[in-house]
Amino acid sequence: MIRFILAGLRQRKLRAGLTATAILLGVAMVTGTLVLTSQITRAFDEIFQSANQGVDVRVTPHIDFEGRFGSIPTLPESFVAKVKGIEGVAAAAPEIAALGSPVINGEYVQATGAPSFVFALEPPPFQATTLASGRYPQASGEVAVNQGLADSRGVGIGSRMGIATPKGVRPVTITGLVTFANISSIGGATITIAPIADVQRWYQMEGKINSIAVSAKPGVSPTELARSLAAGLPRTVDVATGQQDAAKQAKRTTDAINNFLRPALLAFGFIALFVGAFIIFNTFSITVAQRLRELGLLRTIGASRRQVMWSVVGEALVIGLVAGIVGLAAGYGFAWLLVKVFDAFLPGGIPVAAAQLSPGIALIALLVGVGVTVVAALIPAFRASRVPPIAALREGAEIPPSRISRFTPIISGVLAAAGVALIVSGLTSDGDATDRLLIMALGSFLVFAAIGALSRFAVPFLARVIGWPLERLPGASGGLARRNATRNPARTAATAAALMIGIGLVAFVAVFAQGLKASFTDAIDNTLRGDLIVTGRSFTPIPAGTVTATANTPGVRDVVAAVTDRAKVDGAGKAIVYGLDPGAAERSLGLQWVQGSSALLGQLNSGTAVVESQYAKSGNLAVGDIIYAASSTGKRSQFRVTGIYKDPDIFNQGFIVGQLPFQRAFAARDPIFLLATVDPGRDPVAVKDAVARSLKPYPIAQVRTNAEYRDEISKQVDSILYLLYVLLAMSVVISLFGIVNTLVLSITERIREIGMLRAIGLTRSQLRRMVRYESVITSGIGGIIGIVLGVALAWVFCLGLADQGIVFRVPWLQLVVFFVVSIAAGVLAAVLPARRAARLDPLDALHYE
Amino acid sequence: MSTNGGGIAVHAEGLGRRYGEGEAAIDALADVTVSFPKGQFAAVMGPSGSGKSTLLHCLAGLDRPTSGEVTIDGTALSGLSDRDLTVLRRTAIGFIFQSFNLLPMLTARENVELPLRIAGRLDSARVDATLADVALGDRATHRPAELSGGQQQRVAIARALVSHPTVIFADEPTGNLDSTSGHEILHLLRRAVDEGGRTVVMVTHDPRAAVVADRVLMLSDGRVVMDRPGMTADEIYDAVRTLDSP
Repeated sequence: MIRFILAGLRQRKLRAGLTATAILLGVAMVTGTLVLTSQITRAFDEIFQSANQGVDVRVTPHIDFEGRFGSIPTLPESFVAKVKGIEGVAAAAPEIAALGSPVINGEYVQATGAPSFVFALEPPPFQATTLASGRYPQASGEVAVNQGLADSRGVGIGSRMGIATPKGVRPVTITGLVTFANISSIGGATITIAPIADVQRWYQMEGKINSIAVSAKPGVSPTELARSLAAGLPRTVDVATGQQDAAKQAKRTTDAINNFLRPALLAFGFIALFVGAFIIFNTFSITVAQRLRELGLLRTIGASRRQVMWSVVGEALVIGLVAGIVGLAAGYGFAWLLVKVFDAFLPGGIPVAAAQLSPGIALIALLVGVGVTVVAALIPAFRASRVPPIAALREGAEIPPSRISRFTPIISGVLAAAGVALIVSGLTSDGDATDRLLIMALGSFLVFAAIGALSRFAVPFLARVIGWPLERLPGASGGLARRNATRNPARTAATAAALMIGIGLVAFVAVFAQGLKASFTDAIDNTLRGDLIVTGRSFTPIPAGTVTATANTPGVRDVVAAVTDRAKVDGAGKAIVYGLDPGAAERSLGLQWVQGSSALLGQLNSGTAVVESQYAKSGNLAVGDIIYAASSTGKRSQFRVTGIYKDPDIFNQGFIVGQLPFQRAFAARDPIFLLATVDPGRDPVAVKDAVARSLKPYPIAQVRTNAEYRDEISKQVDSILYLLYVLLAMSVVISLFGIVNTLVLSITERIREIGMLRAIGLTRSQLRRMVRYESVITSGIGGIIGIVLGVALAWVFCLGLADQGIVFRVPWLQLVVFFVVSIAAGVLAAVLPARRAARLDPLDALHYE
Repeated sequence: MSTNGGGIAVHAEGLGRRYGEGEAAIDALADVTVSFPKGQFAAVMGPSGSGKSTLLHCLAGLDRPTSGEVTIDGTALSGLSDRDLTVLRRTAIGFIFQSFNLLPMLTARENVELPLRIAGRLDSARVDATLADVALGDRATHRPAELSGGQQQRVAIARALVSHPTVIFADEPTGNLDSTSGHEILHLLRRAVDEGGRTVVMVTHDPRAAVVADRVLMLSDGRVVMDRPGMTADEIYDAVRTLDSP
């Protein structure tokens, strides 16, 4: 049987190739994602392990959970002496890690995404850096920076630069260049090393440090040292060996990759595989239908049903295996390409370890390739097993319909309903976000599959709609194309379904993004009544000094600073706490109140809190209740709930308290944004320029008018949207292969007909047009169903997420563009099949068989 | 020389096959009772629509009769499951078709091997011998597209013979061939009966083909209207003419 399968595949190389391509692209996306994310994860592990090489044990302040925006807790510097006094300690050094960007030639070095570190100088053996040239800083105002920064910015030993600190830009001189953890590239991150006294002064940490690095006496293992330190120090600190600490630090970064980037990219890989599965299903269905005689013959010479079924499954197995192997290789290529893309768009790129051929990833590639192909081929294989032996003798024999096939529409309908039910339950339940997303994804998957199966009933109608203009063009091509497209509606529907998925998801994200954007921009318009907004350039807090600088600018009437941190609330879980200046908040916020009014904001300093409605609901909090909150360092405090407001976008997922109680209860000091109101009659744009001048010492901060800020948010949503389009484009490309495949197969099947048409005078170009139009009708059907389905799904999602402020807005123009893209896809897909059809000699075609 | 071995290869008792229901029902076969002894070469003839193909399909277990019973080598077909019927096809039945029905992607030899491979008992020596029998030893590695029609049909005969079946059903085996090739094919079938002891039931409308048979059955309107051994070409022509213009 294997010989038979292989011989069959050799015979139909083009089809086998196209079919394998449909799956291998999906396999490539999945393996590429796994390869890339493991490369990044390993890179971070290596960075942190090697940075901690000289550290046997690290002592850090005890925290219960991570604060927001890395509000790093501190220890008194005097703790170092306490550590030194403990048995087994050879040396101990204070450590400070802060964030502060270099300012070179007055220009702020903005690392996109990657952090800019400022480290306090440590004595050997604790240094995580290696000196490449020059010397480590000695006097105040001297620094060492990473080699990469010096290279990319054209500075060197002796150059002067600035460091953006909470106290403004401090001037320093470079005395040395270092590499970090013995690796050349640390992505776009920058490192500045300065004497500890300087760092403490800049960051208002006099007498305080972040952690203590400890080395063990000879003969004492890090684990033993950690144990004796834990025993000898108070419970307010955590003790970890250098390795444990590195693993923990690496995990903080890699968690973001493994919990967000990897599943997100994998999702697109699975979408591509889903589209590929449709193509496999369709291709196998068509070939089974075309090979009735051959399959019947196998039965007459003694093949059992099972053997016939295995011959089809076996073919799928071989195609899947090839797709898995080639897809694995392509996946490594895909990962390599993504690294290049990151390098091109992110200055300095991202830290990446060398790609490794992991047996786990190889196994996944093969399993996914073979699994998807075989599962998609099961129904056609089952149909093949029902081919009666008599099919070998009769022209035009048919496969007897199975008992289930009559119920296909009903089953599909039930599946679609189940899919919608799953989506709705995912939207409305209040379980874990990942679970809900998975449930909704499964629901959408069912809906797409069911609609794909049901759409054959819509094919004749839609073909008439799309074919209408084509049939009115001169020549018979349009009419022939329309009839060809509708002669086997199930086939056309399955072919169109592959494109439907891609276009459907594109339409879905377009509508959903529109709703998300509207939600944000509406919130900015309604909630933020100020004229100007000051934020960090990246998603980090801004120095506290910016508040006075902004408030003292002529023309500014009022400034409200929002400080934020995480808290753990008894009985209600984690919350985001916002600390606001009560008076200014009352004047410049336009919150939407469920209970209470803006007057409540004015009284917040008396220890009250107003709670966002979603959080109040999930945490079961009502007006009059007491919130018992703990900060990340375990400090406890309480607030009385006086009001409930609705704001899913800005002051979301928690509650607002007064600035003074906030400072008493929580660690964060630097505001996340400022809202400024200008004096009546002053031009906000002119005042904005004045504020920008006042903020010169704080290059991390930028000021914009509310309108500018809103546009920027829109642009950010758009850029995410474009990224999603690119990822979904893969699915559309895969569905093109499906259309090509179906057309090629249909042409083979109609070879005699085509000969006849040519014999009665259809020209080659008319024939090509006929094929092209059929392709356009198919892709147009996929486009229309996809767009309708995408919009409908988005509508359900928007409805379900209405609580979170998502509104349903249809981007009509974009939908028209998507339809045009589907039509263009049809034209493109027809190129090869049309050429093949036109190449046929009419006589040969007639003499076929 | 009509029988080489003892026993009945194929027997049909009161065979009927009705298509459609009610008023529109057509009886393609009506109450046909016929026996084919082992080692006989029988030709089934009749005008188009006489039911000769339906008879062949029912005898071979490809089509289920609506009434009556077919027995092959002592096994009644009506009681068999699809699986048992498949096993019977592997061991007891060979087929030859008008349009050869070779698998285009396999070589001649692979086509011949196929029934044995499907049954899981490949026997290369037997394949070689069978290919030699049909004088195709030198063409074994050719694909069907590289062979003439006569050669292709010889491959098909080898494929039918290779599993040493009790009975070979041939459906217009010479229908697509020129007379020389057709003659070769009939000669091979004849030899399979005479030297190999096979039973051949051949549907044909060509009197020149029927001449080779030991026995000729004439069907008309689903009934056996004539059943005679060893007819000459002229006798067959006469019989056909009578049936065609009643």
